[in-house]
Amino acid sequence: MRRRCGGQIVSRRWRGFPVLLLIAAVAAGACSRREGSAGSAGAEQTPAQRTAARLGLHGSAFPVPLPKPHFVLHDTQGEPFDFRKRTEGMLTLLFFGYTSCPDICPLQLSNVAAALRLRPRLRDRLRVVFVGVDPPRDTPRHLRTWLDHFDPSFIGLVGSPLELDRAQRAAGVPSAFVESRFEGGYTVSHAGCILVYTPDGLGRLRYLPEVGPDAWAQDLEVLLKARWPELPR
Amino acid sequence: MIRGLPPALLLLCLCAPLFGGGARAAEPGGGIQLRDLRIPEPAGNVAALYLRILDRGAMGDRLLEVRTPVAAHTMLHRTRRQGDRVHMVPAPDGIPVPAGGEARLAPGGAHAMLMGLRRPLHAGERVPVRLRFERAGVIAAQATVVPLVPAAPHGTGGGARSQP
Repeated sequence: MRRRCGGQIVSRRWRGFPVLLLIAAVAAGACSRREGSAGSAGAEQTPAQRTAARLGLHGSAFPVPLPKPHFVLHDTQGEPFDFRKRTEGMLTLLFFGYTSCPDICPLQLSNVAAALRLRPRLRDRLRVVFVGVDPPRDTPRHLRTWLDHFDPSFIGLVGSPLELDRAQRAAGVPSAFVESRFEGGYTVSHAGCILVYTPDGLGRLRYLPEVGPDAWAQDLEVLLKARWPELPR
Repeated sequence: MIRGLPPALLLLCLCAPLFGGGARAAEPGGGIQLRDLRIPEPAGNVAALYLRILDRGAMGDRLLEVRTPVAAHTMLHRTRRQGDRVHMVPAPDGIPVPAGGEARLAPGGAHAMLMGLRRPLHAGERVPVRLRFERAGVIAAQATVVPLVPAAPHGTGGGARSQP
């Protein structure tokens, strides 16, 4: 479950499982590939990656699909939000970022928001969940206002540092931390990819900021209908 | 070559850039041109300034600082990726502009971070900015605030209600 993002976490959790580490290495390679189409390694591809490639998806496919993480945070109304339960059966996009981010977070969210403006009817068929990883500044109210600038349908979640850390671990992304402080603020290092879970509850792909609105719009349509190979038992 | 020109012609050469399109350095030897200065409409109280910097000379240059009256603090940043992690790294030595080439400050790459916005910025408005270069000195220009989310071609965006 940790294997999708970041070698550090992989090695900590999966030490002693060389095969899984190998899979992790493949996954890490896919992430760094620009405009990571669902894979181009030919014979080395897993069935899941081959399917993603055949579907023409613009994200990087995980070699093996991942279970949807289980975590509970709070929505911007202060109500508990059980991620797995509340997104059940839905195409789900999960992104960990912070509202004071000037670059990657607005870029990622505006790509998805623009895709939904291109295909407004998709809005009711998916859940876009943004987790604010900077509690001092990502207050529920500010997070709501911030997300509304992109798309009011986006769900915002907040939590304590411990809860956020658990959620990021559960999702297999590197945990955010305060990176540099300077006059006027600080920046946060965080996971930059959007994780995509298909309606069957499995994490299939991650998306980098290079994937623009048109590609997202096309992929969301495909992801709602796609048939994936059975998982090996 | 410049030394051989009559003074009046030299003066004309130096002033000519002032009458051209876009923002240019007026100083001799400053062949810097600024293009596509834009600030995506901020959703919070930080924003990013993106632009293209063209060097028409043979010397190259370096963007050292950006200032604007709309932000309390500014900083030049680069976004770096390590696996799935993204970092924003300050660029204390500025952004180099290759001789005769172009430096791009673009989403996912480098940007000038504007912090502590003094007022909301709205798409369509123009924001004064001053860019300080190592060679070309200070160049004043206007950046356009652009929509945060690119508009759909047929205006089909409405209808969503706010989520918790």
